Amino acid sequence: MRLFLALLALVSLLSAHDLVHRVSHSECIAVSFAYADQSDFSYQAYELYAPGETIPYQVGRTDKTSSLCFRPTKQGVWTLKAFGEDGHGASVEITVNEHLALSGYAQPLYEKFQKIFVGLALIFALFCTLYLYKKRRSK
Amino acid sequence: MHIPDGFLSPATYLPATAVAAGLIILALKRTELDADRIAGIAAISAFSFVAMLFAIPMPGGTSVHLGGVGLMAVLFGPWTAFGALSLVLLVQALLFGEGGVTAYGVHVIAIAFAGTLSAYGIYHFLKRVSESIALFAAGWMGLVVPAVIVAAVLGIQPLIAHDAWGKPLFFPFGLEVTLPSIVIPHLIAGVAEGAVTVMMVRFVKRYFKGVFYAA
Repeated sequence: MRLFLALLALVSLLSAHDLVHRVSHSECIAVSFAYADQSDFSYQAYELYAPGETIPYQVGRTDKTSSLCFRPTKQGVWTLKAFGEDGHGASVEITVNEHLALSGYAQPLYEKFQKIFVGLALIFALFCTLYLYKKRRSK
Repeated sequence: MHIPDGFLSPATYLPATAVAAGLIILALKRTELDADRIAGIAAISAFSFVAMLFAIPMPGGTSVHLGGVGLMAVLFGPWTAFGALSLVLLVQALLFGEGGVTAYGVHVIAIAFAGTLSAYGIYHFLKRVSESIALFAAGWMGLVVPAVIVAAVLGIQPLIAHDAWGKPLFFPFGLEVTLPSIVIPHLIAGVAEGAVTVMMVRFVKRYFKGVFYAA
């Protein structure tokens, strides 16, 4: 009987160290990186900070597709820092709402203003062409 | 003010596109463009393009943007302003999704044509009274008149495009919704547009005398 109880205790200790797992499909936020020329940012290090925290909530490397996923646990602005081995990097602020879902993120300056730059360049190019046409005709 | 694709029925956008095309051809015939003024027109067109990209949030969940319509009408005259604004609207529709391609004709009629014509008309009507009031009114009209037309075009969609049960096939809200929700914010934003028009025209007239419309 004593031997049985001892074995039982040993088994319960073993199960305490057993790693159980569960696969679920729940709300996660995915972030993808790429250089401006669309080249990939795979297997690069990142650190993710929960709102108001200084110890990372999650660290790791981007996957083959230059992406990472995380499941937020609280509302607020999450900060994601990605570091390329070539010295490039980015700090992205991701806003999570009360339902722990994505409500917005800070766009990079390039993305924010590229529409303006491209549009202005095109408008000036069109008027430049018109100017050259008019000048040539007036000669 | 920019209507996306899918909001207007073909019964609206097909005739609007035809009318817009006719107006553009007319503008090309009536505009005598001096090469030396093209740089100025390009600069103000660029200003108009940027102004239209910045949406200002308004109470009620809607947003408005400035357009530089009155400014262009006063500086370059109605036909040149119409041509330049049509070009800006085309770039926005084709490349940036600011307004649908199918809605381009309505935008040309509302913003480029009615906007410039009303702005230019009110400027000439009031400039004998006061240059500043005339410029302010031109800026205000250049924003409000297109807003009224866009609101009206959207608001009549349920009347002209619905299924057998009366369910709207395109834009679902009537004039009782579109007129207050689009026009009221633009009445307020028109004050900013008017102020910008006064300042910009004075600036251009002072430092770039050769640019503006002499008539």
